[in-house]
Amino acid sequence: MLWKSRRLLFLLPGFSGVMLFYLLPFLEVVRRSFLKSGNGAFVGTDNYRAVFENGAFALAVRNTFLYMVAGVPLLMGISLFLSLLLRNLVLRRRLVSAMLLPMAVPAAVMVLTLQILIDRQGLINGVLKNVSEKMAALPAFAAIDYLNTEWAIVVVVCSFLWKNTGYMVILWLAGLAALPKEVEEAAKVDGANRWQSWHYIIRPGLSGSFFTIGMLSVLQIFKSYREVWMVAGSYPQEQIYFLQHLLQNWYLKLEFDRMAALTVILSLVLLAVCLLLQREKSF
Amino acid sequence: MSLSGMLWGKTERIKRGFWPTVFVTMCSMLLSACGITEEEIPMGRYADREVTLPGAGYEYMHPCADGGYYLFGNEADLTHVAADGAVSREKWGWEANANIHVKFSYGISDDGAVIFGYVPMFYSDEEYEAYAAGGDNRYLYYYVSGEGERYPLELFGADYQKATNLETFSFAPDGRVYAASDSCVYRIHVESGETESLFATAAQVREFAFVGSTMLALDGEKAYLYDMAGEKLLSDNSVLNEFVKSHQSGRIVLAAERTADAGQEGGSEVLYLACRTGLYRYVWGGSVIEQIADGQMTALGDSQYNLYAMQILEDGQFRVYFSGNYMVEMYYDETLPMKPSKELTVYSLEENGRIRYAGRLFQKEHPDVLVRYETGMDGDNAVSREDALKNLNTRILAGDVPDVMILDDMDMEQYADKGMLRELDDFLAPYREEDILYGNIVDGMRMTEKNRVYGVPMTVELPLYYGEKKYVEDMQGLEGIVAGAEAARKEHEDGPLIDTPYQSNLFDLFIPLCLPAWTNGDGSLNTGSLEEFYQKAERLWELDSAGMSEEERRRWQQDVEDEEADLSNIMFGQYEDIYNIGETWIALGYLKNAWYGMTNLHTKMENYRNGYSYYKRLEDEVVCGRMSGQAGNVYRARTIVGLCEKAEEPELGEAFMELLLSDTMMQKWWLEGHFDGGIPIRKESLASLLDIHNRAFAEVKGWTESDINMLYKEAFWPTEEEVQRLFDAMEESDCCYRAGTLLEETVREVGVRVLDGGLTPEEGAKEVERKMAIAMEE
Repeated sequence: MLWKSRRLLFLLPGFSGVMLFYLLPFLEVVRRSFLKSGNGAFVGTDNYRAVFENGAFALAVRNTFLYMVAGVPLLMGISLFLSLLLRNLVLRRRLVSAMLLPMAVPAAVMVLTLQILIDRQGLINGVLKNVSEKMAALPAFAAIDYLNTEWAIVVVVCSFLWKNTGYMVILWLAGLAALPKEVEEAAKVDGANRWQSWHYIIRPGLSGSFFTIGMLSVLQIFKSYREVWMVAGSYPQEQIYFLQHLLQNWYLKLEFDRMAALTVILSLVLLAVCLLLQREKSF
Repeated sequence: MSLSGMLWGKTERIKRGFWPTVFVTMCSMLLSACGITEEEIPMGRYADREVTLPGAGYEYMHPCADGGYYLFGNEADLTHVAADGAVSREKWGWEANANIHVKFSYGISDDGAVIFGYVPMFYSDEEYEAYAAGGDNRYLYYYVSGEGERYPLELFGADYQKATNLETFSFAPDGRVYAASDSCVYRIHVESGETESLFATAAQVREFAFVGSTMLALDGEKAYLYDMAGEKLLSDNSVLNEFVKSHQSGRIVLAAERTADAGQEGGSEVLYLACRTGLYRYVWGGSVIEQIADGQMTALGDSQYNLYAMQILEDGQFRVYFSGNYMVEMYYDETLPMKPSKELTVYSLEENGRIRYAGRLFQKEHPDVLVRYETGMDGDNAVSREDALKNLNTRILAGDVPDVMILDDMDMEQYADKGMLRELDDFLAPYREEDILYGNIVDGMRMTEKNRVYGVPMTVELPLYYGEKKYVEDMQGLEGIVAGAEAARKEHEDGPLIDTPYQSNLFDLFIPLCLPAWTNGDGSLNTGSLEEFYQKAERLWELDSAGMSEEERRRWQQDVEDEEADLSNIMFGQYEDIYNIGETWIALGYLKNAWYGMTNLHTKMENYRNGYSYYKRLEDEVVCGRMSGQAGNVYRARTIVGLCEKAEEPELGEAFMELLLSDTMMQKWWLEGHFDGGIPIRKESLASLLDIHNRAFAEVKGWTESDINMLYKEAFWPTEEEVQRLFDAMEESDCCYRAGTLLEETVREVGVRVLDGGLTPEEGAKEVERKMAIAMEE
């Protein structure tokens, strides 16, 4: 009994921190989601209804979902592919270090780089213009304002991949390193080809990493808002208007009640995603 | 009982006693922290009283060790005020014969020796060129000894850079002279002119103090300690460095004294540091700097004056000298409560000198109230507007609401909509009954579905055009402005046309005139108007750009940046053009100063270039009038004051607002030299300011560009007809432009792309519509 209570005592500092800085504030958010900002009157589920009926919310959800659907599998796929390529390379460490560089680049520098590349008068347009001028067969090139056209989502996904691939490669490599080599070697001796090795040995062995990397990728999607905001502002091109834009703008507009409701909704969705991925892990 | 049993029992007893002990201790701690009742508020704090100076025109004060002080200025005699108040003047005026044109950067010693930098008079271009060849704007130096011996100083030295300017001259107690350039501190031997480099600094040293044998120099980023006896730089003092770093936005002035502390042989050196946030005391070598007076409760916090010098007096009193020939004595008043019992919180996004000034006045009238003036974006940190608004919203969310809000550059309708701002209709009823304010301007502030007033501007700016009659006589509406600009460009192919170095300046100029027209009655966007705006803006930019190459524009922009001109202050640039009509043919801007605007002065550029100039009344060919864009009768509201609905001190908030709308504030601020603060909306104040029969003719001073020679120009005051024209314009103004709305931000952002050619005006309008559609949906 005494032993058990001592164990709880060890847990206390950490739990108090979580309680104080996460759970209690979150409970306050939940409380506020049922109140009207300004006068604090109880409004039941009105705030939730207002969120679901909001056109900007629908747009933001659609865009964030599309971004996630495009970004997360691409990130996971590309990083896994690269990690499989790098797995047996001698220069692996150096290459991985180089791939980590984008993580170390401050957001402001990244935004500046992006602007140099994709601006109307940027590098990409410049190169395309030169190519089109030199090759008479090509149609005349008109500079593209990437962030203000349908290309915006492509730019955002590319910058997301550029920034996060290195980190995910490391996670995959860690997962691969944990796999027992003997099993693969034995399969090879038994005549298994690469596809069979992947399908029957590596893939099932990486299911634990899959959950972690998947979860982290989803979280990175939400964290990449900062760069998008810095490069395109509070009201960017329609396709890159995400949930964080909505939250940010509501905050500036003092829509605290709706913001609280949206936060609760988002938390529930993230919890669902977590549970889903965990279920996937158990497979 | 076994030993373990005894121990166990003891532990149990300790356990049982532990929690009650903790509980009792915490309660007693809480009680001791909160137990100070109102009756027990400790008494005593620093207050100040203004000192009448023995003359005008002073720019510098030197505190003497005997309690007296010297005052001096470019156009003032060297004046000594003894400790007993006796005044003696040493007549100056010999400078013209010594070819000294403008003096500055004075250093004065206790015995009346003066060292200063100066710019000479040039009588020919050759003279100027010879001077300029030694380095642009290079200062020369002069020395006048206490006995009256005077001579120019020819500074020289192994590490002395002749092209750099020396400032902050300072006499040490031993008579040696120190000065600083923007990168070095020097010691000057005034007998020979030899200038020794002592140590390098990161920036210009602005303040010296002498503490025993140590010289302390502050450069705004760091405190340098120099051992004058050992002639070496001492190691850093982290306490002082930290202090300097955290007070970068304003000047820190220093004064040192030796105190005869009991128990410490020879006493200890004490350094006093005064800055906008207060007066501080530092016992030399100690680890802490303690505040002894709060800037907010003394003249130190008054932003309209810059701190220049401080002197330690007897009985813990201090004499503080500010810019604007303003001096106070700070004294400890035991009858005042240490901390006022009430607090009035005033918030504005950016520093507003008028509000800080009003805060000081209010505090003088209400000694029991502390006016806490908070700004979202102060100079000490690089907080963006958006971050400042987020911080404010966080405060509001936490229930920490200011009493009074200055709503400039904020989307006030949003705050009104959310019930954060109080409806002012009842508060303003007496003003309306007695016709004190321009009712049309107040009514222009109505907003929200309730159509109520939530904020009142203290002043307004009116859009104005000046120009040659043939170009501007039909300049009504955007169409008229474009037509005028086209006509001017046809006849004058070179040079800028509407004084907008950057595209953003063009929007600064025209958005206020058009913004009210972009919203339909139901709140939806009028894209037709917006498209027309972009078309006209594009055309105006083309016309302006046609007079100069891209390289010339870049150079122009660079010049503007070098001059650190306030680009948002359109009237500044425009007014220069109004002065210099002849270089530009159309001058558009906002009237911020009733005196200037209505004097209708101009001068011909060719005269200006010839080294002399004159102002004269507008002639037939040059006219001025009220400019309109897509909206008419527009005014720009400035210093918009609102009261918070959930203010903790609503009565104090009202009293503060009454002060802001009073004749004292509306006139006094102007009369103390803040001419560009806008036109007061209080009728009697404006009438009094424009009472032409009570104003003397004035002389306006300036410098020619080429040789820095001083010009004296005669100014003419307006006629009654011209004054009446301004009154009429004020009476007609009923369409308010308020900065800081999302629509304006979006139009600007997209507008730059339109002017760059990235979007057509039609596409631009659609882009704004699309962005605003999301905002509306939100």
